Order: sequence, then C-alpha cells, then structure tokens
Amino acid sequence: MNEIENIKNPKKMARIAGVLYLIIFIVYPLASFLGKSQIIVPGNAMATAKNILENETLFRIGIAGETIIFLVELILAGIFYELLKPVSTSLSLASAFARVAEAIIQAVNLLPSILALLLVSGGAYLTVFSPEQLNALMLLFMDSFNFMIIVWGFFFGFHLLLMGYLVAKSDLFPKFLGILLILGGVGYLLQSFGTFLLPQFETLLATIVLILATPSELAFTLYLLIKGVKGQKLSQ
Amino acid sequence: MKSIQRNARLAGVLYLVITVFAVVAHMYIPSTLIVPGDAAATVENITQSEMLFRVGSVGSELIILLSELVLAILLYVLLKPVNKTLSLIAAVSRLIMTTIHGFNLINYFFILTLVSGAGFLSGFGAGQINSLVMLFLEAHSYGFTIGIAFLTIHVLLLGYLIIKSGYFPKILGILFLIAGLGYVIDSFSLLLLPGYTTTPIYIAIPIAISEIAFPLWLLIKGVNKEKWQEWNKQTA
Repeated sequence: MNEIENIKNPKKMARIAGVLYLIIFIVYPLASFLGKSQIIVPGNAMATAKNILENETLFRIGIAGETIIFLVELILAGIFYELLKPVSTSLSLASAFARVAEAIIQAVNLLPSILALLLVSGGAYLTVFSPEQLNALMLLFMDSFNFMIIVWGFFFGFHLLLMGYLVAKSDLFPKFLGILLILGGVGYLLQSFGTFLLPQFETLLATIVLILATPSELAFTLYLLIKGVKGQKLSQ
Repeated sequence: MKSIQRNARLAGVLYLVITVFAVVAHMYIPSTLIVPGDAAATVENITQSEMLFRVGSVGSELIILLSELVLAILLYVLLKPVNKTLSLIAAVSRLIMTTIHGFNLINYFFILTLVSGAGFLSGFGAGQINSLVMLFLEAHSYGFTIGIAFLTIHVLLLGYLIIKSGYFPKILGILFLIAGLGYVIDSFSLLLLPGYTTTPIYIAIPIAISEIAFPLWLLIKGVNKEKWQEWNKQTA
C-alpha cells in the first residue's frame, strides 16, 4: 500500500489511460474498416488495386489511423508500467516491454501498405513489370500486413497475460478485471499460434479472439474512465 | 534470496529453450530445405515440406521471441544491483533485437505465400516465383543479422556486468566479451563482404561456449549468495 502512495495521482493516470483506450476503440475499427477491409478483396489482386487507386484518400487515412494507434500504445505501456510497478517491478517491466514490442511491429507494419500504394500508383520505373505482376506483388504485401497482425498479436497476447495477472494482484483494480484481461490474452495467443499452425481455421480463431478479448478491453476501458482506480482520491 | 535463485534458474531454462529452438530454426531447417544456389530445388523442398517450414521455422521463432522477452527482463533483474542503467540498456537492446526478429518473420510469410501457388500470383512464371523466394530467404538472413547487431551491445554489457558482479564467475563474463567481439566481426562481415555466408568456426565456437556455459551455470549454481547480499546491502 505504501508504494502505491508513491505513484503520483494514480486516479488521474488511470483516467488518461481510459481516454487513450477509448481512442483506440474508435480509431482501430475505423482504420481497419475504411483503410483495409473495405478496400482489399481477398485473393483478387486486380479488384484490390482498382479499389486502392479509387480510394487512395481512405487508404491513406487508414495508415494515419494506424499511426495514431501505435503512438497511443506506447503511452499506455508507460502508464500501466507506473500503475502496476508496486505489484512487481520486473513483471510490469516485462509487460511494458511486450507492449512496446507490439507497438514497434505495428509501426514497421506500415511498410506493406506504403509498398502497395507505390506499386499501384504507376511509377515509370515499374513499367518493366506487367500490370498483372504489379498487382500480384501489391496483394502479396497487403496479405503480409494481415500476417504481421498475427505477429504483434502474439506480443500483445503475452502482454495481456502479464498485465491481467498484475491487475488481479493490484490493490488499484478489482480482481475480475485482471481475470478478464488474462482471458483476452489467451484469446490473442490462441489466434496467433493457431493461425500459423492451422491456417484453415483462421476465421474461427478470429471469432474466438473477438469473443474473448472484446469484453475484457471494453470492461477495462469503462472502469478506467468511470472509476479510474479503486478507493483513491483524485488529487493527493 | 529464494526468488533470485528462482529467477536465475528460469533464466537458465529459457536460455536453453532458445538454444534448442534456434538450432532447429536456423540450422536444422535451413540445412534440410535450402539448396544453396538452386532456387528450383529449394522451392520444391519448401513446397513439399510446408508444415515443417511452418512449425520448424516460424513456430520455433515465435517461441524464441517470447522467451527472449522474458529472458531480457530476468537478466535485468539479475544484474541490476551491479549497475541499474547499464543493465537496463542491456535489456532494451535485447528487446530491440527481439522486435526486429519478430518483424523479420514477414520474409517467411512472403515465402509461404509464394510457394502456396495462390491464384493471384499466376502472372509470374515459375522461375520468377523461385527467384522471389530466394530473395526473401536472403532478406531473412540479413534481417536476422540486423537484430544480432543489437545483441552485440547486450552481450558486451552482460559480460562487463558479470565480471563486476562477483556473484557470477569472472570467466563467464570474459567469455561473453569474446563472444560479443565475435558477433561484431560476424555481422559486419556479412554486411560488408558480399561472399560471406557462413560464420567461421573460430567465431562460432566462443559464441557457442558462452551461450551454453552461462545458462548451465545459472541452472546448476545460480547466484553466489553472500556476494549477492553484499551488493544489495550497498544499494539498499
């Protein structure tokens, strides 16, 4: 309890985390719907190329949205490190490391979208490739974007396991939130491992992660926004 | 005291886990599937043993990634009493390596998609597909080396901190300094000398010795009790 008092304004930090989570909740679905799923036609390179060219602004907005998310993730990693440090310094550092790794991989994962954009935008130096080849390369890169989601999901799942444990142990949060976060972590890890090893179940695994992870992240966001932390006054 | 010995043991176990899976991912699988200079035969091998490539290369690397993350933290905890800043720099360099290796998996995704015979790739001839596969295989090994550049910093700091610590034998630290020098020569040779593909034996042996001796020491002996307590009295 002593060490919790050393954290400056835990309630305020928790509220900021809540607002940042809310930003992710709004920006992430928008970015992936407008900038990706609405534009990419799975397996159809020509239709995808046409969509990117016709909706280049949306595609770029998607990339900008992804940028906002990994910047927010970085700050969240720092805030939760501070809030959960009293439970265990080393575990909360490990948890923060995993979230930073996730954010970096998300950041480098802008590269496939940029490459795809360059390939369809018709630079003169690309004319040695046939249009069909250019489109195929473009779709290869866009598919790799989805694959890298699985890779950062792997780090994120691990982060959720650690954070869930720390939240459950912490005096600042109710235990059930920690348990929910652990379930979310299990969901992400199942999806990441499963998609590698059993690619034919990709859709099923994506549904599992949605069912396991969404309630936990929603509950956590609401708690952070409304309550902040347990039994602490706003200004100490 | 009990918990620090437990951390030492866990670090030893993770080190060995990494070694075993690294041998599978970086030595066994490449030697079975890759035929140097023969793109057609290599692609044929990967197509025939797709599951081996998925589980052996990608799966092993995923296990290595999470183990590396935890190991970075455990080594930080083990060496923090000697110098907090230097051991944090060491941990962060190991984390950066892990993140780069995580992103480097994108090259394996390209290879798996290229050999999958997806319809959208039909614009490329078999020869072109094969040469793209070789390109991404090479890119993967360069990506790996870029990660190792950060491991160099980690290993040199680790060596220094072990020598200073007194609770680990000095010789283990000296071994790491030699290994770190080996990593420097190895990664710069790969980047500067076009024909440099395999690590010469006089570099590989010291690296292997240090990477096996330290984990075994951690597993069997852990940290020296009296010296550890001395350090912690000083810093307390």
